[in-house]
Amino acid sequence: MSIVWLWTDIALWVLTLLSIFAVYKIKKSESLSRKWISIFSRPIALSSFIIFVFYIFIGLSDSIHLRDSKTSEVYSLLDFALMPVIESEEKTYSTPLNYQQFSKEYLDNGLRGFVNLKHTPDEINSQSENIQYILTTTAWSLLVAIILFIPIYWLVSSRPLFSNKPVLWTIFSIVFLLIWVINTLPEYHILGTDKAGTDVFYKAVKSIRTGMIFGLLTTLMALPPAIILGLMAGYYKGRVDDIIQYVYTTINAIPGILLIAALVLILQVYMDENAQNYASSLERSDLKLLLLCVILALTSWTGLCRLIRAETLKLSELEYVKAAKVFGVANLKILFGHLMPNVMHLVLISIVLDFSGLVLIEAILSYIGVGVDATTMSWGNMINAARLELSADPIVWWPLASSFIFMFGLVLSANLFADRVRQVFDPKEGEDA
Amino acid sequence: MPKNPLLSVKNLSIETKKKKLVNNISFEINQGQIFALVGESGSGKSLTALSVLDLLSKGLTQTGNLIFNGKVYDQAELSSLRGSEVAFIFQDPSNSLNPVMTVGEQIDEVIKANTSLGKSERLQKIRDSFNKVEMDSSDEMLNRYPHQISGGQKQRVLIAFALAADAKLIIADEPTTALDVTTQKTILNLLKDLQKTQKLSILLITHDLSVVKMMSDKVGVMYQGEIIEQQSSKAFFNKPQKEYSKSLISSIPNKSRKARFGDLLMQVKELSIHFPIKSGIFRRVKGFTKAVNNLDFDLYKNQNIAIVGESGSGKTTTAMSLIRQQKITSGEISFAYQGSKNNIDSIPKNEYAKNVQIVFQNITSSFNPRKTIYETIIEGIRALNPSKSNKKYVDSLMREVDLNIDLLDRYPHQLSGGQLQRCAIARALSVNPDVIICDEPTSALDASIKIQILDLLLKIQKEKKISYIMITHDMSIVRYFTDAIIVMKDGEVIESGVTSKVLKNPKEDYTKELLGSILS
Amino acid sequence: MWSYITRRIFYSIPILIGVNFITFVLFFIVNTPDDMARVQLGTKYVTQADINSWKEQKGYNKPLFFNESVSGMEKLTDTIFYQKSAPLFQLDFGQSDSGRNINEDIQQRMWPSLALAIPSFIFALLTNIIFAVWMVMILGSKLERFALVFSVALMSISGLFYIILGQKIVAGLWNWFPVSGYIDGIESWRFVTLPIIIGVIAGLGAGVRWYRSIFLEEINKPYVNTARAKGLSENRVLFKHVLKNAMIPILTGVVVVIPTLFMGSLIMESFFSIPGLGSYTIDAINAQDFAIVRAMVFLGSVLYIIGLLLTDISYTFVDPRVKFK
Repeated sequence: MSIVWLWTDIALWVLTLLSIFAVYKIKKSESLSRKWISIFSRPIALSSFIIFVFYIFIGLSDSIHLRDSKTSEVYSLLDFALMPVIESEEKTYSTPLNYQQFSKEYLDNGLRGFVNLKHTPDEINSQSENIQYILTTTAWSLLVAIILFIPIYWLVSSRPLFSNKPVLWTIFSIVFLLIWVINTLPEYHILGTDKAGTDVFYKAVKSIRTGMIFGLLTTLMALPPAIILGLMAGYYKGRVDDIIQYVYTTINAIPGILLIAALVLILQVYMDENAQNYASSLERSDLKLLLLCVILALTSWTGLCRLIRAETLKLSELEYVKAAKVFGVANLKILFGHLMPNVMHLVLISIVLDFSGLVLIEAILSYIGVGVDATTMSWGNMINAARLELSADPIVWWPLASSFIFMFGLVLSANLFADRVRQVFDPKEGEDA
Repeated sequence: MPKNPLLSVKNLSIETKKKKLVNNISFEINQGQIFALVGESGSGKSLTALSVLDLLSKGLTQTGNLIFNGKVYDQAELSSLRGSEVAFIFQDPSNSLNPVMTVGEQIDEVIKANTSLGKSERLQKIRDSFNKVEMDSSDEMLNRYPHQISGGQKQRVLIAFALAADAKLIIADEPTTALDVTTQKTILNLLKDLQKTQKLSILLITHDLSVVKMMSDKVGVMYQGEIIEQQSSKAFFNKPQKEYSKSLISSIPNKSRKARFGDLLMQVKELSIHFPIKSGIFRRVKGFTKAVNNLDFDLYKNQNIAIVGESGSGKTTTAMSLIRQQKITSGEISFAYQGSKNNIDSIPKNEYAKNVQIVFQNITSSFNPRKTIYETIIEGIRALNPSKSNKKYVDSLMREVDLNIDLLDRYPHQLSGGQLQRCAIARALSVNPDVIICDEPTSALDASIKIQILDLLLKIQKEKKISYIMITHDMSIVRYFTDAIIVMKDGEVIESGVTSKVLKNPKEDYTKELLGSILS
Repeated sequence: MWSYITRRIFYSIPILIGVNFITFVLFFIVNTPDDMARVQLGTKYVTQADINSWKEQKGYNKPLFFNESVSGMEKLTDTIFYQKSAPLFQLDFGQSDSGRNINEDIQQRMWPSLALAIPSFIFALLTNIIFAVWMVMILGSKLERFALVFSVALMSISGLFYIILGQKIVAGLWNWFPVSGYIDGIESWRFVTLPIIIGVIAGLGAGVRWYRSIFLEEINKPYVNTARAKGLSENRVLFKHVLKNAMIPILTGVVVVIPTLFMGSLIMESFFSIPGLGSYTIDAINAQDFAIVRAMVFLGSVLYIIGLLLTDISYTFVDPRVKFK
């Protein structure tokens, strides 16, 4: 076993380290920690954040890749946890938690009927037995969850932020869900299988990382140009401002999705031509994902840049900036020591607000055919593949529903959280704590 | 037998979920009376005013009784008083009028909402009200938008709202603080006249004791949400009962400055600063705004000079050019550097900054909100005076401005205005300058703190023989603080000379007008 | 005013050149004229001679930006960049790489695009503003809190979900509208109604919240309190004062997109097989037809710039403080 570092893995872990550093900084600053406490004092914001962090943890566990030295296959930590369903591919469709295949085929005895799935408890031979088995597992999981929840409750309930029903319910639901999945996964295809017989739950969970990378890395990469150019335009004014404004107006003038589409097409052509440079298809698709984020960042930094420019224009007229100038403090120090910390609230707001939009855009780009690589598991690819299945009879709904629900969970929790962050950090919103 | 009061507020409290902002206050206003509610910012006086018409923002709750004209009003009924009975004049006239409606439309709305008059009668009423507030009542004026009239005119329009609806009580919340000094007095005179001729009652909210003295019949002093003292205006100024009231009344001593000057420090000759006006397709320069035109003055060691003028007079632009933050169009600024007179542009920037420092008007934005006081002060020392960048030196600066060194670890929002201004002075002192330019250093401060800051500056001057250039619109501090005065208007010097002489015998009308604006 | 507009148009020329330059560079970084020729001619049995004649025929046989072989200004003008860009400024888009007349295509395909885009825009605008005003009227109530969370939920659902579900249920199951396709003329309403409804719903959550925040910002301004103190009713304050002032920030966001409606909607048109400019663009992207993509990018940029100009002009109508200088 050896660790394989994909580009996006590195980026994500760097990002994780950065956020740990940010938390440390926040804890040190009294006014910032007060603001964050105020954010989490809304149960709905804290609950959303917990769910969001849960998603992030899944994504991170999918971001440590190991290469099996014998088969030279690459698996992530998450893959090891999901191994039972990876190794049991069915022939074709099956509905969620079923023990039989979705469509009939010829059995050993020559008649047409439903074949039992490979990945199903051995002793089950009828629908009622199946239901009973599932109910037993569920009840058993509930019991374990309650027992596990008692110490958590005891730990958490003394903290005022956590001692309210929505937050406790959120934590309990996550604990229960986790245990239920652990119990069910080895026996069932929880969300059924798709046309090729691949487990849908596996695909939906694997897609979390893709969505997360899309939402986080894109904004992260858009930040440096947005911040640096925005600060410079607002501080130096004059020629510098003219040039920077020209650049972002020009980029803004190009219809966004066309620009993205054009860039992705070029990327595709380029990667096809240089296919020999990539060690494996995994690395190739990973690089494409990363470059896709770069492309989106290229087209999306302008909005934040404009906001920062406007704010910097206002700030640079303030007395503390003038005082620093009078004292001969170097321009770079004024830019990054005085101005940057005072526009960071805009940066934070744009990170949290853009995240969910980007996750949604991923699906649309994949639909137009300019999204992530076809081999990368993503909600967009799932939706794209499942679109035609809706017209099948009987209707194949679960791959589509699964991807929508998984995406909805992430986007909704991010949006609700973002809402509160904006409320607290945006002076225009006016805090109503 | 006293008449029934027009307005009687009983046991009024205003609170958020977390804390009480106004605590159980009661007061009465009689017919034709001016009642002044005095206090510093944050004392709860404006909230009290807003609560009378149920105008508090959501999230604030009010309790207590309100009796108007003999009738008890619930909170829900208070809105029926709006306009027809009680009118409200807000602090900032430039934002109090709807920017996208003409003033005529806006005053017409008042009459429409409160009477059932026809169109021509309403127009008549509008013209009457405008005449009463001494405004042009022609159609041309009525069709103007708020941005097309001056601040004083806007405040007149707001007063006209009150007259148009025949309100019996006007609540005026700091009606003159946002206005130019010369306008302030005319607006106050207008209110006073109207009170007499129209038998109006006025609830006047202010932090300015001179306004109270000029206007009010009765005074209530508010401090931390409570009315701590309430009596007739005469009695109050003769014999204030509470220590706090006394500190409010203490005013700037009316004595002239006597000082001995040293050598020539700074010389300004024919200083002009013009801004180009561009227009046309190619943005060609079509003319110039003369922000400063032909300014001359000499500044000696230990001398204080006042540059006096209203907003737009060019005084702040001058200050910026003196600290080399504003390019000059023509003229020369020279400074005594290394024993000889030098054009300031020939002096290395950092060397010059060690000699000429500045204290700003806008106290809250003088310090980066994300840095502690220590970080801000030490940053300047590091840049200009690196040999002294240690905690000990900063501590000594803090003692010099009479502040506790514990404040160094705080953030700006945790300090009061007076404390912050002292820190700003400490920052300026950190490089041992010869000249400190004070750009309206006291205009944002309450009266009692204003004197403390001026005295601190004078005390430092005694020790270090610093010269001050005081940029101000406030004539009341000029006599006490400065030796020479320069009066500016629209970029031109109107009058200049020795302070005591100019004040005693002003030659120009404008100087007289400025002097007249001092309320006493 | 005219001098202002002329100056703005004058300023927009470098932006358009910049746009053109970017698209040009993008396409030629990896996709040389030779590659394009191969794509267009098909990969089988293509000789270098064929490629050269295709390049000659389409005007791709010159240097990209700088022609060493000629002299004077022609060094710059006798290049692919100049030859292909200059006609764009006269809105002459020439022929697509597959030989179609782009101007004709645009003229023909703009009508279905407009039939879909204009009603979508108007209905979305109205619905969003109506709901936002309603939420401001019930500000602070339980119902408003619920509506707020509900609108967050609405905007958290992928737009694809609305489209797919709408097609499946409304069109597929209930047969109220055709699933996809388009007929010119009056009958077209049957084909565009469903995409319009879906478009309005998909944008509702984000839209309502945007307008609401504009209204809230406006409602906290001092003049609103003056209006209340005058004795006006809450409704009059809201509709006469707040709404009128809120028009100013609303215009900034809205007017700029009006010209770009012309470009159609990529997603909606391709999902519902409406033969507009949006689906035209997608087809061109998939076929790697550089000429069409370049034409559409240029057109989009021109429309965007017109939008910016219209925004500025519209200010003079709603904001008396704005005068052109």
